[in-house]
Amino acid sequence: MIKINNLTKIYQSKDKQVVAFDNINLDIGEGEIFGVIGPSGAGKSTLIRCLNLLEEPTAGEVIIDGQDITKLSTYKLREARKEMGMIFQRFNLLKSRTVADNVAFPLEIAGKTKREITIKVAELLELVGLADKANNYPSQLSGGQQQRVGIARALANDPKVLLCDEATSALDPETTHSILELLKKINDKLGITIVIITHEMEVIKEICTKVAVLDKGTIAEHGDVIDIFTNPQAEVTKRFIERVINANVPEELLSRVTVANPDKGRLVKVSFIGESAAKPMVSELVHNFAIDANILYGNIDKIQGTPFGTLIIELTCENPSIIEDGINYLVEELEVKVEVIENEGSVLSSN
Amino acid sequence: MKEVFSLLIKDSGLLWQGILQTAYMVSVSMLLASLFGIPLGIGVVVSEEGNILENKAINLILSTFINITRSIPFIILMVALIPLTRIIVGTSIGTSAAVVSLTIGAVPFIGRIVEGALKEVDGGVIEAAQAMGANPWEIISKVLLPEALPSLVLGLTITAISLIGYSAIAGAIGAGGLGDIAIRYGYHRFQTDVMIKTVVLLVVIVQIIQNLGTYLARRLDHS
Repeated sequence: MIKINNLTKIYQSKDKQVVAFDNINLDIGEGEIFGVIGPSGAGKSTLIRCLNLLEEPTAGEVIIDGQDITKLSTYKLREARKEMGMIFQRFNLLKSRTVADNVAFPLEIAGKTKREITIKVAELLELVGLADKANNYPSQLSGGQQQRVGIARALANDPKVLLCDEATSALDPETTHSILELLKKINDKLGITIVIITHEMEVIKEICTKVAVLDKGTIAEHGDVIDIFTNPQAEVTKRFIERVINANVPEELLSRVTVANPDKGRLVKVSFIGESAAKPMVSELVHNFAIDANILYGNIDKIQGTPFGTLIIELTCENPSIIEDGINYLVEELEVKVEVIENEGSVLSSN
Repeated sequence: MKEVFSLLIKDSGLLWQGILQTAYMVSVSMLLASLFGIPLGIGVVVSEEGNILENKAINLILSTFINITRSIPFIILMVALIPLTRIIVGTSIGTSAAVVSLTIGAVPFIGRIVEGALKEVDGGVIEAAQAMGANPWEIISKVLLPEALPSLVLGLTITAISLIGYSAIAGAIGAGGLGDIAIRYGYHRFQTDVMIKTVVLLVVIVQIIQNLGTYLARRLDHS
């Protein structure tokens, strides 16, 4: 649906160049909810603005539905933009227009008749759950409601693509959740491709199917959200994941474990996805190997409907080799990922 | 009591005529100046660097025009425009003659006021309109002007009030109106009561216009 080829954006001022991003390649499939995450200043807002040419890329192609939009004439570009919806961090609603008139705006631009507009606006407000607010002004609405108006407006011309530029960053967690639910519903119902730019890993975790991690103007890694979460490669990705899945053991506890059992114990971090999450691994360790398992940390989460969990367990046994057997059993029989934590440092860097 | 009353209504015919003349000069010049000044202000904003119709040359020309015309003192502008006024209205004396210089004096003033009001419009809203495929004309007519309307109304109120002041200056070269009465009767003929009455009337008129403008702007403001 969207193919980004060698996209580069360089801001040229008098005596210096600022590279927003360099040589980005991405392939976003139809109906996907594609997330782009990165720390601020990574160039993600510029990147999404290049998808509808609000920013002109310095080099590269943006192919949307088979058409390279960087090569379109001004008129054709405006027509292409009508096929793409966009929502913003600060909503960007017209404060002089009512909710209904804000939603009507893109329809007016597209030259729809009054009758068509009335019908479509009512339909859209129903979809976003704001039918009763049609005649209110944006200033009378909460942030979440304003973003709903933004979404209704973005969907007015039945776009194939919805671009979300930090759409939930100005909202509280609960409202963020409800907006994400709405986006997911729209994706299910209309099959629209959604591109989300965010710095919040929760957003990616909650609704994205694919994710690209943008750091310092390049893509650090990209792929299925579940793979990135369970097996992050880049440093920046690990930092982002730590924020939502905090598997750091308190230092006091760590020193107790390692100091108290220098050669009898092992501290392991076990990560499991899907099927293996349901297996009774701790009790198997205890029963089959006579290893004492002390759970220090546990977390189970859902990413794209797949259970995903982390356990930090202290394993102790009179015979250290039995611990090794137990760990091998976990890896080979139960197919979970096991990392042995050597010291504090390795906990922080492992994930 | 009777004396006070008769003093109050004395010269009322003259003053009423002054009010009508002032109203005529201000409203006609306001209308004409808006006709040119609003597009001028829009032109300055949209031709600016990074705006929807970026054009450095046009921006420089419009901006310079505004700055030059605004720096000429009104009384000098009036005198300088006498030949032009003769061509347009056939005479350089009277209310219609004053309208010419008042209009030309107010055009750059309105231009700057419109510029200021339009620049207050949130850039994000313009960006949203662009993202929806709006063309520059649609952005001007559906986004910039409606969003800036409350500030525009306040700005035009200021212009109207300034024009009342200018029209009084125009009275100095025989334009008619309340300013003219104040100068001819109040100042030249030492009729202090006429002077006071014209000043009071001007204060009342300015109050009415300002209150009306403020009320309207508040009604239009939904932020």
